[in-house]
Amino acid sequence: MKKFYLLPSLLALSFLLMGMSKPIEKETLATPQVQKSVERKTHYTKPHAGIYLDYQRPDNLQIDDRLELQLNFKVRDQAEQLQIEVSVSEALLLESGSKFEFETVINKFNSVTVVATGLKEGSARINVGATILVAGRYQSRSFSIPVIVGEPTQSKSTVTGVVISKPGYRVDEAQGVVSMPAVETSE
Amino acid sequence: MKFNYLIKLAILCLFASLVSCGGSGGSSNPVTAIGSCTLGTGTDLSVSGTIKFERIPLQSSGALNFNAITSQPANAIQVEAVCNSVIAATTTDDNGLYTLSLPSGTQGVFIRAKAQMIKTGIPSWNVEIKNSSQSSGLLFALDGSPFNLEGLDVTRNLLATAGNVGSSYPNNAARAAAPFAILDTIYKSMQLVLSVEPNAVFPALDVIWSDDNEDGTYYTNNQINILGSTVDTDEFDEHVIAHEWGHYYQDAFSRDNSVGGSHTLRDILDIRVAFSEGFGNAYSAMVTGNTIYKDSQGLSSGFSFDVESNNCINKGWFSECSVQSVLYDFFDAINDDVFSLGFDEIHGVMTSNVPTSSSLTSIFSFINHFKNLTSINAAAVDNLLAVQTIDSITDDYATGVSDGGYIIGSTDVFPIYDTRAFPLTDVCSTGDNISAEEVYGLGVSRFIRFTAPSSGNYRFTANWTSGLNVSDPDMYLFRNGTIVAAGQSVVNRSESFVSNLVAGSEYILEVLEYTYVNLDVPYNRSASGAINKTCFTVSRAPI
Repeated sequence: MKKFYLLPSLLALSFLLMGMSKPIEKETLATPQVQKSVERKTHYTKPHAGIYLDYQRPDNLQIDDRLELQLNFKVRDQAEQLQIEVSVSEALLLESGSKFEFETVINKFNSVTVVATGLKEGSARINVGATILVAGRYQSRSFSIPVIVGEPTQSKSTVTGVVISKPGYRVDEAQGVVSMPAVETSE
Repeated sequence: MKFNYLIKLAILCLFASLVSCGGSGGSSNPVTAIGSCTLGTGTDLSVSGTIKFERIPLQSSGALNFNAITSQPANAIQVEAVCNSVIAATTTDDNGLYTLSLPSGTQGVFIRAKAQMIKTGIPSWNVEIKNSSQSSGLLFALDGSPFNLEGLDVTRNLLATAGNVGSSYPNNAARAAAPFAILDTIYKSMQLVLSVEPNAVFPALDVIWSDDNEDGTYYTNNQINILGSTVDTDEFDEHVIAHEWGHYYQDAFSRDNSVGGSHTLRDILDIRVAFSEGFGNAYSAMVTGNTIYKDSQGLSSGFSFDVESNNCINKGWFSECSVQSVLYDFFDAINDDVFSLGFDEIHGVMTSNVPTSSSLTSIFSFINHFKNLTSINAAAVDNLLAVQTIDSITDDYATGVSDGGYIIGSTDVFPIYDTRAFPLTDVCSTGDNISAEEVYGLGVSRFIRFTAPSSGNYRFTANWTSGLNVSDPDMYLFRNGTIVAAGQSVVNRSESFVSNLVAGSEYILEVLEYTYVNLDVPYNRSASGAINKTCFTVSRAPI
């Protein structure tokens, strides 16, 4: 359960330092099951365009399974049109169209159905770019929908602290770095 | 021993062949050899050079401009000479230059530029860019190739490339520039503070990034998380990074009671969120010197707005757009207002007044003290506020401030700080301004301000009187802006907690209907049967 407050650490700290406030009454502490499981971190996010996406998180797919996912877009700005562009990562095959366009109506949902098939095991993504035209300026917002195909496992090889797990990067746990190659000159 | 070495060599050869397939047109070095260096015993020689990174600038739309890549110096970063282990270290200057002294005769040494800025003493800082995926928590480093020192000084220049091919990122290349581009924006962000507080001590900051990071761009608890997935890359989005660093600034140097969450410029926000986010937006323009906030989306789109613009859609003290407009007008030299202050006065109020106020952080607790500075024309402040339909602010608690541009829904959000005596009836939380999931709208939380009549333990209780049939009230008790106690049970229609109060101390009691901001079950204010107003009677009793 996620919540907005970074609370309990502050409570504990204030309790220890001030010695005069107890954060939660004894009866409640004795029966923690009636308390919410509070997300302690507050996330301060970046501003975004007034485009919202609502969808039902897809279940895991098996290879050759077909996914039909309805994406519901809502726009809160006085936009002239809404453009949708859909792509999928390589574990999926996109079988529906990839580009859609709507005349926008504020706070009314515009729906798109994406159809994709599981191609191979892996953690896949349905990537969605939504763009509105507001007062002559294009404003975009990106979304990424996770899809699991099969039961993927992460593989990596390790020899004495050197891990090769991804092209272009070398993980050197002994030296505490992820090493990346430089373009090097000597003049 | 020899067997291990051969295995390592074989892996390195394999890896080198992999990375040589990628890159952005330069001649990338193969992965550096490990454990094959011999330290010389001769006189010291100079090894010097520049550390640079490629920056992909943004177009006016906010989209990445792959056709205008530049190389920029990596300032103030750690550079090491590695011969099996670190044998010398230094920091780059403002031109990305470094110089190290190494003994002649050393064979197989290489230069490593770490994605870290660290300075001890006064001022001080420690910023590290760490990996969020494979072996998470490890520092990024840019490695040159091994070389020998044979009696002459040498030059070794390292360039961190963006890793693009045209306008895309191939899977087999490192995006080496990203950690250094992020550091560059953070370095600029720090300079604005150092310009007015040269002895600033910056708490350690971790930045989490990887080229597949899809966890969002956000600040939390001395950590900035930055998107790297090609769905939305943020490493070159200077306004975005400076915005998040602005949250770090508020946390480190001031106080921020914001509850965070999602937000747009048109949202009608909780006063704490509006100020926190508006400050971040204004700060991004101050740092970059560019009023057009730009955020690339995917590899060909963007999002942008003008921080300087006064044309906010929902003007008012609940709008991050209004906050950013006012704050930036104080700062800038653009001739549309009488202010051209730079950051000095803003920093002074943020560090001296905002964190010591008994109120919660908001435009009220900032403006009230800002207006009282001897260098400030208070009437001119009022004029700027009036443009945003904000009445004159005369205290930290919005006393006398009207709703301005706010269109009242089912629930009146006034008074912003309720000072009625306990028990208070009709303390009403509203879902009217929950515009979308994770948006903490104005009026969800209601604030009760009181002074403790005597020291001792008190029970605070909120009992439902009307509204949602299944109701989950919560309460938080603040003293000097710090939460000292809370009630967060899931008991239907009721909440209660006990806290010790100090006689004469001022407290803020926050009361809310949790249903409106429960992210597990997002609230839809427009759904059939939605009840956007839930009210409680709030009492306080000594025990």
